[in-house]
Amino acid sequence: MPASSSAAAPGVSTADDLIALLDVSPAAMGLLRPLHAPGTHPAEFTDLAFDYLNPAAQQVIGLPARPDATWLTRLPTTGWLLEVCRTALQTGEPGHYELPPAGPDEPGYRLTFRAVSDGRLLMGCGVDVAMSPGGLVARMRQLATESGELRRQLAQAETAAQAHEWERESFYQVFEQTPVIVGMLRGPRHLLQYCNPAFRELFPGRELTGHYYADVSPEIVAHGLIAELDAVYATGRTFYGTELPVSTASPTSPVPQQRYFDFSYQPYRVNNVIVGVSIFAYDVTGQVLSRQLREEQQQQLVALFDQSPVAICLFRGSDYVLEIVNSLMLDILQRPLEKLLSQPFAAALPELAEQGLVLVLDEVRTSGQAYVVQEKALRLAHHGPEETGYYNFVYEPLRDGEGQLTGIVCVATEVTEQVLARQQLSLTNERLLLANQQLTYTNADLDNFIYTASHDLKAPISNIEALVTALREDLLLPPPAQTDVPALLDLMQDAVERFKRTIDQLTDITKLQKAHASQLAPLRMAAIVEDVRLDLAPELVAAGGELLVDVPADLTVVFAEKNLRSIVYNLLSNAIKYRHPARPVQVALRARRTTGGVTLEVRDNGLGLTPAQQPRVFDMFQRLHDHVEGSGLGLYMVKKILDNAGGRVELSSEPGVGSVFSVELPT
Amino acid sequence: MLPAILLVDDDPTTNFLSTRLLNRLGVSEEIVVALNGAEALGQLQQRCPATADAACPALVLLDVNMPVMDGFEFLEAYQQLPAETRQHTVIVMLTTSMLATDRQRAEQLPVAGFLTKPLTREKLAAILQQHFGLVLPE
Repeated sequence: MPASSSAAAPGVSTADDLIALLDVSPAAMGLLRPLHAPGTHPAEFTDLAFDYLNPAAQQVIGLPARPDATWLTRLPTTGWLLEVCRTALQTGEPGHYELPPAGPDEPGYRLTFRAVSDGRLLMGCGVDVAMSPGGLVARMRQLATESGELRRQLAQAETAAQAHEWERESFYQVFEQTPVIVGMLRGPRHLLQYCNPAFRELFPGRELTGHYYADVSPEIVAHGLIAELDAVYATGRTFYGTELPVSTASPTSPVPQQRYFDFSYQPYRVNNVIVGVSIFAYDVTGQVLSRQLREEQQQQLVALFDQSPVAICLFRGSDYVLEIVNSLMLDILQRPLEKLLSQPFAAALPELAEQGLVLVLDEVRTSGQAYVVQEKALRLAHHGPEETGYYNFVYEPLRDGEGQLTGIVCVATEVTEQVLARQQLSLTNERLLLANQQLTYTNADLDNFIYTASHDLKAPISNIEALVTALREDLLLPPPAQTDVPALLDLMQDAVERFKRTIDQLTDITKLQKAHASQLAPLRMAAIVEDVRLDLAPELVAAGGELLVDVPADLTVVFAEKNLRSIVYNLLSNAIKYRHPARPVQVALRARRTTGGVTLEVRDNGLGLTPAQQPRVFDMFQRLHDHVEGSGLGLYMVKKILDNAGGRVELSSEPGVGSVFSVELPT
Repeated sequence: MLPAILLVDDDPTTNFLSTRLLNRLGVSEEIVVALNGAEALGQLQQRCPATADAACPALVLLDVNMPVMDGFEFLEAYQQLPAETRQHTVIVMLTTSMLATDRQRAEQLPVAGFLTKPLTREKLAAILQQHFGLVLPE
């Protein structure tokens, strides 16, 4: 509170009471302030100013409540008074001064002076009884007699005034020293009645107190705050302002600096009437600047995210609310930013939640471990029915300085094109590999073919060559000695037959290689087997054997008819040919539909094959038993037909027991 | 003159011609024919070492492609015979044609030489001279 102010602090009822009491008090009461010349010691005061006079004192002194006149200008003959006051100030003891009557009919007054804490003097007045028996004192006595209460109140008032004064002083010191900006405005035009050093520092070099606030602070006017002050004064409602920017220059920094203040405008009242507005403000520049810095960094971060060459988004909280979503992430998700930002994951990206990504986020949140995935197949809302996207991404937990999880950042790149390209490549490679394998088989077949063909063609040729040589030798002999000639000619004929037979078989193989899918037809297995059985009936009868056929009547298979006949014929004919000499032939043919196609099984009780012979059984021109006629091509052709059709044939055999050929025909 | 020659081949024509040539040249007391490796093995086990009743073949002319037991299988089985069964016998392969791999395989086996069919006087003369020091009369 400013020392010059005589107004009570707002809300201090004792001050109001005191003023009220003084106003009605019949005793003269006043507050005097010693005046000393500039450059002299305060104790060397030469006059007294009237800071306040109550109505009774105004009557005694003949001056208004706050007169401009000093004691000596009003009562020049009372010089002794100064000595009494000086003593009172120095000793702290009350001093007394007899003010003589102003005229014959006037009463004389006994004035008491007592020092108060701020260096001023409280003046009280008692009336000289002898000088004025019917005067003021008598009235006071009368009043006191009439109401002992009043006296007590007077004493209380004096005590209260002292306490209040002390309190005011304490407040004042607090205000003076606080870094909080404190100011008091009075009246509807906001006369700046008090401002503390912190307030003054804000507007250096300006005269503030005693001026209207609008005149000394154009900044406040510029911010439209005078209207707010008017409103507070008019309505009594406190106004709170935040982060008011004020540009101030200081002695240390001539360049004006922007500072920010949070503040309040509070009404203050006297006797429940608003008489002014108090200003409390404190500097929040540090907070504002650090927040601005944070915001700036945040913006830089967002800009950085946005320019990042990978897709990034940030999730917060247990619902994984999307806080940041950069451009590339928007490209991936293909939906507008406003449908993502501040939305929980499950609401913004329901299709990904359904594909288990919320569970993944839960796992990251609970474990604190990053989740890294390569080429994750995901279907997003914008994908077509047959479309799938592939993504590499990381869910990385974010932590604050204390290691607490504050969010999860997702960094992603779309790799759909690469994955599809690789899948395509892989498919192509597989096909190439398959084609290559096919070619390798074909080459091996070809090598085998050339070798066996050349061998089997060469053998009769070399025989013919040797037979011709022998024949020539014999023909040179005299006719009786030409005993070998018929045999040589027969053997030559055999060799030629064998040669022709081999050529025919090779032609068959060539035809087989050219078998086309167009020959495929649905065939009743039972009918084919029956045809073959009839063809082989003579051999079966000759061998004294039996053939058991177990084929469902309705079993059909899509195959080239000639080839299916060839398979059935070769398997059955081999079973009869390579029979065991010690027992009658028993052959069982069984066919069944399976999930993969049709299986055909031919089981015999024949010679069987050793483990060493079994691998060669399907090779070209292999005849593993020598006592029967055979081209060595039958099983080779069976295997070749099945290889070409995508089927297969397997052998299980035991020498002396028999063999089982199992054929799988594709559907 | 050799005590016996064993011909191992499933082709009757080859056996007829070889027998006729050997008889005409008169290089062996006896010519034995086996139609596959298994038969040949049986003959050798029976005849070697030689007894009063049976001569052990000094030379075996062996084909490769034969049913039941082919030339390679024969050679592998032959290696398992006791040394005294094998010590008086030389085996020469007589084939129509041979793959390089077949030849490599044969070289790991107890084979003294390779001949290509048909067997001629000249081919036989070289074998007899190399392995038995025999020279055929002109």
